[in-house]
Amino acid sequence: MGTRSVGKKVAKVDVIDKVLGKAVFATDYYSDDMLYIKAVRASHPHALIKEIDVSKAKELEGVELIVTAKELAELNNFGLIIKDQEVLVREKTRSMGDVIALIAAKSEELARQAERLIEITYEELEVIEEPLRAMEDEAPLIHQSGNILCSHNLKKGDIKQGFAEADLIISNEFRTQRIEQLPLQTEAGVAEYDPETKVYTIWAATQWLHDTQIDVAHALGVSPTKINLVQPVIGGAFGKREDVSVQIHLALMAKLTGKKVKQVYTRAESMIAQSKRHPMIIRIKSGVTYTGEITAWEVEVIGDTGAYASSGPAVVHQALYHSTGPYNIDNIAGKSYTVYTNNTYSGAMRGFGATQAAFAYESQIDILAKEIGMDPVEFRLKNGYQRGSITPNGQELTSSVGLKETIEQAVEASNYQQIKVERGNKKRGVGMASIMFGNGYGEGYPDHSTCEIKVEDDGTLTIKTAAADVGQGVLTLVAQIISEVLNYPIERMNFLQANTATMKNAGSTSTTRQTLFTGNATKNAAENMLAQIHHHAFLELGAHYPSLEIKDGKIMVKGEGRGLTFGEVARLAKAKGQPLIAEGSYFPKTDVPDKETGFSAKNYLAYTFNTQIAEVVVDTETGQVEVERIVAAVDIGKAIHPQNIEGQSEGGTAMGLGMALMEDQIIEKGITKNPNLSNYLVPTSLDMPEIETIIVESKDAAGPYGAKGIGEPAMIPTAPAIINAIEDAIGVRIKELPATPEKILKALKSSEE
Amino acid sequence: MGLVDIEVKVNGEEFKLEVAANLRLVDLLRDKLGLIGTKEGCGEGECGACTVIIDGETANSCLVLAAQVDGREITTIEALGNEDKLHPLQQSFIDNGAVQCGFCTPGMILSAKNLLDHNPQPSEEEIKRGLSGNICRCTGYTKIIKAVQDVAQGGDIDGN
Repeated sequence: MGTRSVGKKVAKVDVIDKVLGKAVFATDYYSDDMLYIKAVRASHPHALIKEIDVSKAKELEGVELIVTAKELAELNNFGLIIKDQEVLVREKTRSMGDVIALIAAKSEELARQAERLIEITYEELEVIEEPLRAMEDEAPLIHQSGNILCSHNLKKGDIKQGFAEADLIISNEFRTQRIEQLPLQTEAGVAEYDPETKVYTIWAATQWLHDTQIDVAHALGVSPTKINLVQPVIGGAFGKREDVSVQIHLALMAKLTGKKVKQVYTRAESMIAQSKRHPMIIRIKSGVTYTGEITAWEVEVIGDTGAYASSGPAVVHQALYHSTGPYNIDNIAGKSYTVYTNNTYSGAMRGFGATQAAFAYESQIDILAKEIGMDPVEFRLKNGYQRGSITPNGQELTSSVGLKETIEQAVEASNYQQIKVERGNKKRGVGMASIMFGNGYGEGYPDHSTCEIKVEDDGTLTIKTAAADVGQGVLTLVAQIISEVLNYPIERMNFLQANTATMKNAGSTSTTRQTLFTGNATKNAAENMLAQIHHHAFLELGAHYPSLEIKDGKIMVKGEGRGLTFGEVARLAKAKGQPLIAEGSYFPKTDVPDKETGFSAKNYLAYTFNTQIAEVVVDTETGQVEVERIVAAVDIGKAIHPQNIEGQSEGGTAMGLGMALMEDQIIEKGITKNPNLSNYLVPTSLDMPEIETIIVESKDAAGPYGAKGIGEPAMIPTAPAIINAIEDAIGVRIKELPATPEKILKALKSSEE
Repeated sequence: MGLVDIEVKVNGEEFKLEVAANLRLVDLLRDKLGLIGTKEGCGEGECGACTVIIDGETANSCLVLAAQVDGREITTIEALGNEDKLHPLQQSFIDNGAVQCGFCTPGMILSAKNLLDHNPQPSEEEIKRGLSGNICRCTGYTKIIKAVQDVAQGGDIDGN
């Protein structure tokens, strides 16, 4: 008993302010005499800039400063993996999000007025919309380095032999759409510059403080120590807050104007200028036997990264590495291409390429099962991963492989068998999808996290973690782990506001890694603290572990009633010059994949599995799909906070439903046609089915207490499960997302012909 | 741009203000009155983050001009509870895990309150309809709907 809370539901540590409306997001910082920054963006997506005339805008009263690349030649480029984005366009625009000028004015309204007065003369170039066009030899270059940014390979076994062994060879092309992450808060921030210390302080949300710090410092040509990034409450992220947005603009303008500055993107600006989910073309050729063995799997992935690399090289190869799903296949060949176009750049979004891949492989798996006349459940169970399976990268799965349990439990909890048997009019359907997702950056990337705990004189704990809580609850997880190790109440823990000046790196809130990384770093910190407390208690009380126990906020000698409060231990330790501060870190090793084959004996630290079964009704008159119910069985190793696991599962499923049926940022000739929520549709409460989440715990994963992550894999199976259910209902297969009513009607019509 | 005199009651407090004729209500609340709990997510009345209650009806405060609320009564999230005594909806949102990033939460809670004020025992379908103007990108709505159901079933809408 006591206050240990791993495995239990506890209130999120940051929730009170959020329900009261007191949580301070980036837009909620105000101060007098603040200037408002507006970025003037390109009005042609691919053009040489001939002239920028800011003279009329400068004359407007209340406009303090307008800058273009001409005045700021010393700026460096920025970008997450490749520094290919200009802060201000020098010669050529590459997408509509490109920034031509920055305006500082006394109000947002004035800044907008000034924006309209700036005249830009262009020499227009061919706008490259499609990656297939960009890949053609004579296509104009978007960047001098070439339109194919990079390619990756995957090779396992003997692909020729694999196809020779097949009874059937089936090829399909699948296409996924451009998706807006749509965190509810747009990009925003505030900054100030101290000319004495030359330090820029920037309050703006990011998924990875210390990486954004380096990117901003690089662009400005200053040491990272001169950039202090402070994390406000984060209004959602989903991958969209990995890239720099307002930070460099703010830092620049704060220094140049000498005033505090604020910038808030409009929704349209956010949609046009900030990253997207990569649209992908995924071609799969599979060999299968009539007895249900998959003998060969050949895959090609083409990802549209738009005008800039962002996370693109990693996203697209992650799609390749996940392109077989969680199935045992001995013979694999694959190639992926990350391609520049003049579209809004693509970057990270929940699932990071593995989401697009899953739509393709889980559609293909259903198609194969149907072709050989095997039930899709049986086919998946026959080929699914178990302990000892080898991934496409050649990694042997030695622990926590709960795939088959997720399939069995999802089938049992759903109406799968019943719908299959009872369905009369074929308009009701049921479909499933099973996925795996590698946790963490892996691939030999030097990824790590840290956490620091201090016991104050009053017995409260002060916790320093730079891990970004985007709403998923990582701070609560940190508190739970500390409560578990120290048997100490969460109510007595305080989290300092995350920043780069006083905190060490915790890595990114992405790749479903914080439970593993910050979870383990926290556990190590808490165990370090436990040792320190025991040490001082021994010196004071003369009793050794195991005759000591922590109970009711004190370290006590068992059965004697003697003990010390944590505050007393802290004061004793401090008097000896050994303040109670404990740091923990986690820095696991993974292997860099081979360039030719993708081989990596330890490519990812752990794999999360998720099987979803969707029950749908399709109206064949209107093409409307109603998703009635989704069962999700997630193998997350160990649920540290079961309610938060459900929260991720439900939220991910909603996002997957949007991907399946409605979401699509349409860009024509580089121009977004639906940069608003009236025309870019996301699921509302009315679209949501009943969702049942089943937690499967295959408890020996690498995370704390055997846990794995859930954030991204929560959404990955939803779209293919729904698409498979639509096929089950009406017998037509949608291979290009989203499955809009128009597409369904068209498919129905062509199937009748 | 001209100026307009307005008298408005916000969270029970009377304000006499001179505002620009084109000032939006969301800006009046946030920039002039410091009520930052009202959020702006789209500026075009689609996301519901800026929901407030005006004379017993919800409205998107990004689509209402400050000049239009002359003589009216506005309730924002700041009126609903405090650290010592949360509104039942606020407590239920916490208990049900209905809050993730929190950006939609104030608007969502106000829409839920307004729904329960008019219909204390809504069906699940009525709750979904009542919240359909508020986008949440994090939760998938399931736990939000459950949070509202719990309060409706408890019958304790005003925190008494």
